Amino acid sequence: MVHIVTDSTADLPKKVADAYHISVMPLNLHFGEEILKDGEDIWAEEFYHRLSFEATLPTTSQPSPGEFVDLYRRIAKKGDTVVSIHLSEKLSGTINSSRLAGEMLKEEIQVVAVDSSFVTMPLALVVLEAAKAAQAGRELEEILSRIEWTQRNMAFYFTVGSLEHLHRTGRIGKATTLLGNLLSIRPILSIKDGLIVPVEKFRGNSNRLDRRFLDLIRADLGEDPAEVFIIHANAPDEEKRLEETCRERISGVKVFSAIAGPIVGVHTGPGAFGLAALPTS
Amino acid sequence: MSLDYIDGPKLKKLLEAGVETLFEHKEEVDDLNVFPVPDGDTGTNMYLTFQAALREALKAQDDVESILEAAAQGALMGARGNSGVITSQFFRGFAKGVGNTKKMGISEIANGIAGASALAYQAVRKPVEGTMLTVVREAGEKAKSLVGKKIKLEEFLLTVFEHAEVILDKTPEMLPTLKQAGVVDAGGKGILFFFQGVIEGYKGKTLKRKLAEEKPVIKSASNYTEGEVSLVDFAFQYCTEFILQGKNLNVEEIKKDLSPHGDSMLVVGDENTVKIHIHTNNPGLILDYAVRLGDMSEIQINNMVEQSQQRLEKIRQRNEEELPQEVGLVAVVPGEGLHKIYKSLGVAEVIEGGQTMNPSTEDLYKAVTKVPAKQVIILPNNGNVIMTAGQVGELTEIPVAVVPSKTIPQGISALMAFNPHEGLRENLEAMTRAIGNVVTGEVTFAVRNSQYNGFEINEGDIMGLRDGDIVCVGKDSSQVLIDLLKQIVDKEDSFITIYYGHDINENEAQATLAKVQDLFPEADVELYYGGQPLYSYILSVE
Repeated sequence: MVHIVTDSTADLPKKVADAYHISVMPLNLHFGEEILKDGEDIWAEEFYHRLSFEATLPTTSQPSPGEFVDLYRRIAKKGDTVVSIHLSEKLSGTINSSRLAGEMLKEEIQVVAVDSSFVTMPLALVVLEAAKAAQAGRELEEILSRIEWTQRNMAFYFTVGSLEHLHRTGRIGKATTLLGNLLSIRPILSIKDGLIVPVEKFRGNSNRLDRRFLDLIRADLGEDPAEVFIIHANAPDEEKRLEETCRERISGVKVFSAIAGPIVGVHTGPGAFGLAALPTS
Repeated sequence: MSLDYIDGPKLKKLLEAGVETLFEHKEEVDDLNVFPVPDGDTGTNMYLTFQAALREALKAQDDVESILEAAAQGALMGARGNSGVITSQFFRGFAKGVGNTKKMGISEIANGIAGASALAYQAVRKPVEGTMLTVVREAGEKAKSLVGKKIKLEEFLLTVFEHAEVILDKTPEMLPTLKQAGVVDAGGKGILFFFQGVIEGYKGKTLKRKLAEEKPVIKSASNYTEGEVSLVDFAFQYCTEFILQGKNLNVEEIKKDLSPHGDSMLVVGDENTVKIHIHTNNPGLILDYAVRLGDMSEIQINNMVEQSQQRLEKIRQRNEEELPQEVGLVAVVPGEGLHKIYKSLGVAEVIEGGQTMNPSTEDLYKAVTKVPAKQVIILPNNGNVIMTAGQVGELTEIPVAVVPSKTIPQGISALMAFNPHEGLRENLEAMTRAIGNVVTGEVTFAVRNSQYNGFEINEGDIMGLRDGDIVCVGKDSSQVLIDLLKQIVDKEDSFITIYYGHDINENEAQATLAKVQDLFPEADVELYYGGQPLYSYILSVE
């Protein structure tokens, strides 16, 4: 039997994870000396609330190999296979803990650790595709090739309220700076080869930004997306508006959305939002 | 009289001493953290991992094997961050290397360190030299080479430690990221703090601080992020620490009494000696409390706010010393508002000038020489300046290129495409292409009577220009702006930016903005103060 595992930076809503039998390993959130498990001890809403008044800025850390050993043992029986799909190795060492745990369990369970090269919504999409394939009873090879297809075809763009958070936590190159605050310029960012990269500087209001996002997605896919996946770091107004823009401009589009959890929120800061999509086939 | 081996009870004490020393220095280690992700948490994560190992070790039975196994298990479960995960492998490898024994001598410890190194190298998919891996591997090799020599355990430990320190100092030579940031490897430093604590514990603390102080102070890396330092808000300002000696001291009670007065508290020791460390806003209160319990020594009170400011200052200085960037910018711009806007877009030198005030080649040359960059791009922003700008390159030693921008909005479009970390040619291409994305409108007045494009123009008339061509004439600048926009705007959802000039006050400008928004309800319209002379309005449509 093949089990699908990911980590909490996929920002998968719990009911989606449950519906597809996906196990989620939490990363750790540190508020000073206090350590909380993402999605177990603290949730998105509470996190953004705390972020607004906490004096010390939070940091994050990867799960330990021991925690992965426990999780794999809990979900898999001897002879089972676990496909453990995680956020980009260039952003976190989580996958290292997964690999070490797999190494320690190799006599009992086959653990295939997969670097998704993404994080948040695109990671969730990779995981969902893998889970669908696993549910359909596909072999490991087919599941892995589906993962690869998803990675290759992913379209994902986002913006942040301020680049300061990505700078603070070292998740974007120091070179990516935005000077022109006089003209209210916003960065459009993406994830390429596992790293957060600037795509372009954008001027104009939010409606124009939404349309620009859609144009970029269309250009990547070569078609109108049938499904659009919105992710936001406590930016419900942006989420709502972007959703409306999608519905207005793409007839019959299905729009899904999720809130970015604490771990992603630490690095993007509140106000970040963006969207992901895959081609229809 | 110290024993020449380490047994179970001694091992527990040494682990405690090592973790304590790491705790004391964890912020210092955080500061060094630039690899693999410069997020400034290596010290904290290593400490948390060591602490988890220690917690389990202290619960174990008093033989070396049980203690090391418990520590390895604790580290495995409690590993935080990359450095923590590697540390957990050190513990496992060390336990494996030492093997089944009740006490450790030189040979067992050497096997332990070598085992720690071997397992950690296996654990990391692509081991990188110049990190804690290198430090521990070298320590292991040194330790192995000393087995069988006639030396005391203490001398053995010191020799291995000193070698590891030498290697740590070389890490910047092995890993460019470290060298750029001017730091040694954070993880390696963390391991050495632990090791230092162990040795001091073994020697009975007489060595305190000596080892750390023999080395020159390491430059703080500042994690690349000025923001973090400036954002730190200290709830408690004074780091207060001292050693308390007395009779029947109760560690738990001291913790309880002191904990309301601060954070980051550490109270360790036994009934005769207790080490106290706390961040507080009232060091006097803490000392008052302690003086009633016994004698204090090694009292240290540091103002963390001041330290942080000094650090911030150092970072600022370093940022100013930063290497020149690849490509710098010079632009010819009229008006104070537009100067500010151009500066905010990264233009190093802005020269006042425009339609009636064309700067000379010398003016441009002087501006170019002031730019701290290896190559310079000039934005002339006026058809009459392009030729002049083209001559500057013949006078300078560095390459100078001209983006042929004829208007202020063209210059701004070009700046949106500018990337300071790309080369001259890439930027020149991208910026020149970007000029085509924008249509420029200008509203100005006629200085004499004339005929143009079929318009009868009298002195003082207001004219609307589209990319330099007169396309409408009127008596009121606001109305001419509207007429001009009607001709330029070709789609409902255009992006219109208006820069109002020196002769327009803010109220007038806002009233004009409202009219434009009424006329183009679907458009995105932005209004800025340009302060330019002669032109009431400059605008762009995208």
